[in-house]
Amino acid sequence: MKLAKGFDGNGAIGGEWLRGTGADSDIVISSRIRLARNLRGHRFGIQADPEERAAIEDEVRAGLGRTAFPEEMLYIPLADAPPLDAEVLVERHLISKELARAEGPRGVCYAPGENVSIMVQEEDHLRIQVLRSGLQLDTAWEAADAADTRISRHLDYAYSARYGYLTCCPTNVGTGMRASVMLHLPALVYTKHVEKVFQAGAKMSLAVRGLYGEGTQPSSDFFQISNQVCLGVTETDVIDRLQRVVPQFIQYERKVREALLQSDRAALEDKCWRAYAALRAARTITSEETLEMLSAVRLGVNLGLLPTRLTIEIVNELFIVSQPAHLQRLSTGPIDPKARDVARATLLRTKLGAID
Amino acid sequence: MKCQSCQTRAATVHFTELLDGGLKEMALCEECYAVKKPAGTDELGMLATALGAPTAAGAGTASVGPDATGDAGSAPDDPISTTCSHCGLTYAMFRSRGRLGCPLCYEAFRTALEPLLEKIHGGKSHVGKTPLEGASRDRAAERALVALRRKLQDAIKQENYELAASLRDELRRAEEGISQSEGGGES
Repeated sequence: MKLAKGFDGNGAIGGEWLRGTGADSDIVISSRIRLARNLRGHRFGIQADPEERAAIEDEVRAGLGRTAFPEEMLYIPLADAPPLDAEVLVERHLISKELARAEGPRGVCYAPGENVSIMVQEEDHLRIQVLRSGLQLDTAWEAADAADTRISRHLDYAYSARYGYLTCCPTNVGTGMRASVMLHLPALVYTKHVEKVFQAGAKMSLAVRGLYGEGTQPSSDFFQISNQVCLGVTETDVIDRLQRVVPQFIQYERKVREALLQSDRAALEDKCWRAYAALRAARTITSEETLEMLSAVRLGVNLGLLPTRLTIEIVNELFIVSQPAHLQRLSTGPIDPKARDVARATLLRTKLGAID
Repeated sequence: MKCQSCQTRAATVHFTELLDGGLKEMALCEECYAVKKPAGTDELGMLATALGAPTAAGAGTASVGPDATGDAGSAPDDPISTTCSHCGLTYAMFRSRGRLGCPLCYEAFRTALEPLLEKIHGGKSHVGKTPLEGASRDRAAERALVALRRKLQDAIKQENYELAASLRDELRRAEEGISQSEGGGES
């Protein structure tokens, strides 16, 4: 394991999970498995004093250092890393906002391909996370399970035969596993059918959240569906359930897309092309508008309405690099929101201009 | 009234099950109820829970916080004043922030936590992954226990209640054996 002072993402265009290669990746952006683990004999972070928190980070770091991962991992101690680097890691889905904005001893250990990361001292001592492109919860689970088993040879987990893996929040106790998929459902949002996905999810004890939006009113076409139950179920039960339910949402979105194409192709083409034109021509653009336009462009690419040289991989990458912390990194000094909107427009024009 | 399942013992539990989209109400004895109640794994059971049907798993999906822990607070042995001797967290503090202080809190607050865990998860005990090996512990007994629980779940799913009953007895003995070394943080 290599120690890094900060995140050196120069040249990297984002995690392997952005490639758009997995099953159903026209609608499922990514599949994620997260495992919550804690060390035996230590208090959880929320209750530990600074000395114990430092001891926990040392112990976890040493254990991860001894673990034989398939590839050499990087470790960033976040207490000493520049705050902007932590925000970039959030935008790349390697760590949570909570870990980035916390204080004190904490860190992240991740694979250079950015599809495996281990958060140290988030709410739990360890949070192992695996990301895959498209609907691949089963292979994501296999990878997370393998990483977890490797780590468990070097760290003594808090585990009880009655309750399973013991976690800070009782909603995670048991398997400690949260399996989730990120879905792009523009046609269901456009036709106001997305509420049905929320209702169906709730009936299956699955949580449906609008992504990028706050609270229950999602401000975009992106949704995350995840399990809520961790105790009394096996990991494969949970994954099988999601792998059975999610395709129904995918089919629903596809059916509505087809219907839209048939009933009003011109309007749909117009929406996608206007969005593409706006991204290629704007001189200043907010992150909200970018998200909305990129969503329409993504739909246009998947329906074959836009030029084929524009790939899902390029669109996925634009979602990541047009976010505030990534833009801030491109600039030499501090950048206010107004200048950031100009920088965002410039970046989008350059990136989309380069594919012509 | 006699139990509608075994037809012999007295019915003490009013049980509602969701079957093929309809609710089926039954009067059961404790024994048959223990076998029949949803373990939180089958979809219909989960659906019933989500819809708030009066199943053993309780109503709705719960979030942890003052509201979700409401019932537990009024338990007869008043867990509010309980303190975890390992980390110093009081149950009242847990109720206000929804987070536990250390792995041993699960034992310290067990009486109050169990109904809450059942409300959140539908299930009461772990059937998932067991660490293959601890860095310093023998996990064989724990692995065997979890495997037994999984067998019991399968037997219930297949409605093999005779096997389920004998597995439950075996499980009870195994749990008693392991409870001595239980706790998750005595080091």
